Amino acid sequence: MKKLTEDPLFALEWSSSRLFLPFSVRNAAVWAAFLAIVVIGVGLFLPDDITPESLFACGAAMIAIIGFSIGLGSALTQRENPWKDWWLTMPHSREALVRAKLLAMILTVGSFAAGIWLACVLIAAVRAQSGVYWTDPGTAGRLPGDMLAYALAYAAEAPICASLGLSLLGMYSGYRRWLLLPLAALFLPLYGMISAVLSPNAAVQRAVSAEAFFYGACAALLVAAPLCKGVVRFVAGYGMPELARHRSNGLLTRKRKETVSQARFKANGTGFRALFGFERSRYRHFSSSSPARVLYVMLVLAAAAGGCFAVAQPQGILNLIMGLTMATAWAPSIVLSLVTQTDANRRRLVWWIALPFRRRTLLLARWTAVWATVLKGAAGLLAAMIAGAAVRWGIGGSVPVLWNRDGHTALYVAVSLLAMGLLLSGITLAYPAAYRNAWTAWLILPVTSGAAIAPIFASRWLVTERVLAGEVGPEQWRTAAIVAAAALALGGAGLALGAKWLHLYLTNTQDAAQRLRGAGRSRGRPLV
Amino acid sequence: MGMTKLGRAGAPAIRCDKVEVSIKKKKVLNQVAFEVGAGCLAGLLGPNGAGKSTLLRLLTGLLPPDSGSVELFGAPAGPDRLAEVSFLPDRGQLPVYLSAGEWLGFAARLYPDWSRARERELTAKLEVDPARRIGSMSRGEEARLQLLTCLSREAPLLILDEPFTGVDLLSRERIASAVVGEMADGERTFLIATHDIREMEHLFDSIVLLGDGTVKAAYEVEALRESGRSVESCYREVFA
Repeated sequence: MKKLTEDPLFALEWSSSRLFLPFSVRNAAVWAAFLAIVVIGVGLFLPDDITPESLFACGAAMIAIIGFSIGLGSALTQRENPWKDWWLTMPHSREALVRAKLLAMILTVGSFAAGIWLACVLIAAVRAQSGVYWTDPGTAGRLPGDMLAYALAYAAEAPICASLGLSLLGMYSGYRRWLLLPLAALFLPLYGMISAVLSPNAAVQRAVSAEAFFYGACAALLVAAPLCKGVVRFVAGYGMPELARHRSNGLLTRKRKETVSQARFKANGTGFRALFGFERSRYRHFSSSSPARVLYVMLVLAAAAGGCFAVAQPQGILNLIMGLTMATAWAPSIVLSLVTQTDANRRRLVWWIALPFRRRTLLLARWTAVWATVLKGAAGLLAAMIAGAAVRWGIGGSVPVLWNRDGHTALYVAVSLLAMGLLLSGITLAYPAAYRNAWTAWLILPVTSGAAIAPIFASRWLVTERVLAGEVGPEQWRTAAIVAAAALALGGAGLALGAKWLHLYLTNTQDAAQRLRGAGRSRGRPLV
Repeated sequence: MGMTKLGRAGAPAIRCDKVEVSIKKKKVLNQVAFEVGAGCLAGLLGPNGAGKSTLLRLLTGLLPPDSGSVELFGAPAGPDRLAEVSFLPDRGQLPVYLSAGEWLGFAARLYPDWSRARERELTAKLEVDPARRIGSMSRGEEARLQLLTCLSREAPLLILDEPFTGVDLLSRERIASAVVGEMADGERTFLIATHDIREMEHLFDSIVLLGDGTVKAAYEVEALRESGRSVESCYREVFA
């Protein structure tokens, strides 16, 4: 077998991946600075009752998210990548092409895993040294064993998560689209895991113990190689022919008819109303696709079933309400940044920005359309939950809900998460200002990219376990009011900043970034 | 180079004075100065990387200049002037999930100067199928739909950035003929950036030659012809 370093396909893929990794002095300095910020930040704000096992397990969840995201990101961008046709026509087997890509991805995820592992070790060591673990003197002694067990677990995660993410490339059409559901079922709960593993609950602590992770890692390592081989075959067999057929900027699926018999999206009104309708048409189109419909119907059924069973316990129903409304906290921000950047990458933004409207109006219409879509989706799920609960009540099940207290708590949960979503989406409007210079980028990007882990912040500061136990008082409402006031102020500022620098999207596309990286690389030493 | 005035006397449709722009620390436009009179069909010509698209984005107000001034019909250009400018971006994309008819339905509501009559006329002339989804259109079909969107407006200034890129011969002819048709009333001003000099040479009233971010030369085409030269020969003289 050819050495990895001698494989030109791998070298080519790796040349792109390693541009982000600490293999140059500059990148190493950035990674070291980031590591120091994480260690200091987490060390300062992490509550004392978090065990080192929880910390390592939290790192494991993050690595899984990174691994999936790198794989999914590659699968999602491959179809619109201008380099795609060159890649497909290389005189190598398709399996060889996919294998090289996957290997480079695994090494990339491995590099992130090493960084996270180092951060966890440093945080745990500092906390052990500073006496945080005084309540459990055995904790410090367990650290060396923990370090090895979780290192093994992190190593096992990289190939599994990267390959599962990349497998998306083979799920774009036909019955294989149904595989999106188990893939989503594996990926989406990872965000919830980040905060769930921090619980001091005995069952959680057993699940995150070094022993459990060690045995899990051994099993995962046995599965990793066959899984990677299987994914390479699957993607080469199904994904690559579809990729070759796919026309850049064409419709997402081949099954869509080329013509429509009558207009599905009718424009109404003029001015802002027309603009809002135009923005909404994007989400209405997306939600009319079969996978989106199936996914939503499954969520509705799950919400109804959840309502039926969870209503037996007040905390159960409150947890469910929190789960169903959590999307209002993170989804608008993520959708806003993705949609506008994608429009810029696909050269659609220039049409939008050249529409004869004030830029604030353009942004506001986009923001409103995203919120209308998210609220409609959340309202449907809540209605399904209420219907499920009503069925339970109708058939005479006991419903120990204290309407006054639990209704008040439910209202607080919904309002506080909504306020958080408004805050994050308002700040996201300022995203183009991040392209202006490094300082604005450092201010805005951590907030916008932090939207993905909004559930952690929400469960830490807004919807805490005390709240879910029904303890909502003036203090909690004051916190929610502060978040809402911040949303109003920062949202207004975000709108003004975003409108002012909106044009910077035009010169900061994926293509421009790749060219810039390429230009930077040419000044450095060779990569291969 | 000083200010070059092209076209009829009176208030110019476009006026750039000492315009400078840098993108990512690279100077893309340097001391650009020229005027295009109202009612002209002007060509903006230059090799790749000359700064043509950046200049057009300045004129449409999509980008602000770092220094200098850009005026349209005597007032500063900017996002608030977009109602007066119909812009065809270079290799821009319309929403792929809409059909041509759905897009035109939205466009009629989004552009206050939209003319339904002109839309109907051009839909037939440019052979655009309203039922066809944009995502399934060929490059030529989509280019025609994009041009249709620009021409269905009654904006006094039309700025077209490489309208022929990747477009087949028949579509080129249809596009060129549609542009000529729009010029019939002599009221509208066109500025067209293109590499296809031969295709458009006979249409231009004037040309601005842009290279390395500066105006290398500007000519009235009629005067060029009278001196026995062509647009192509001029282009070769300046850039070869």
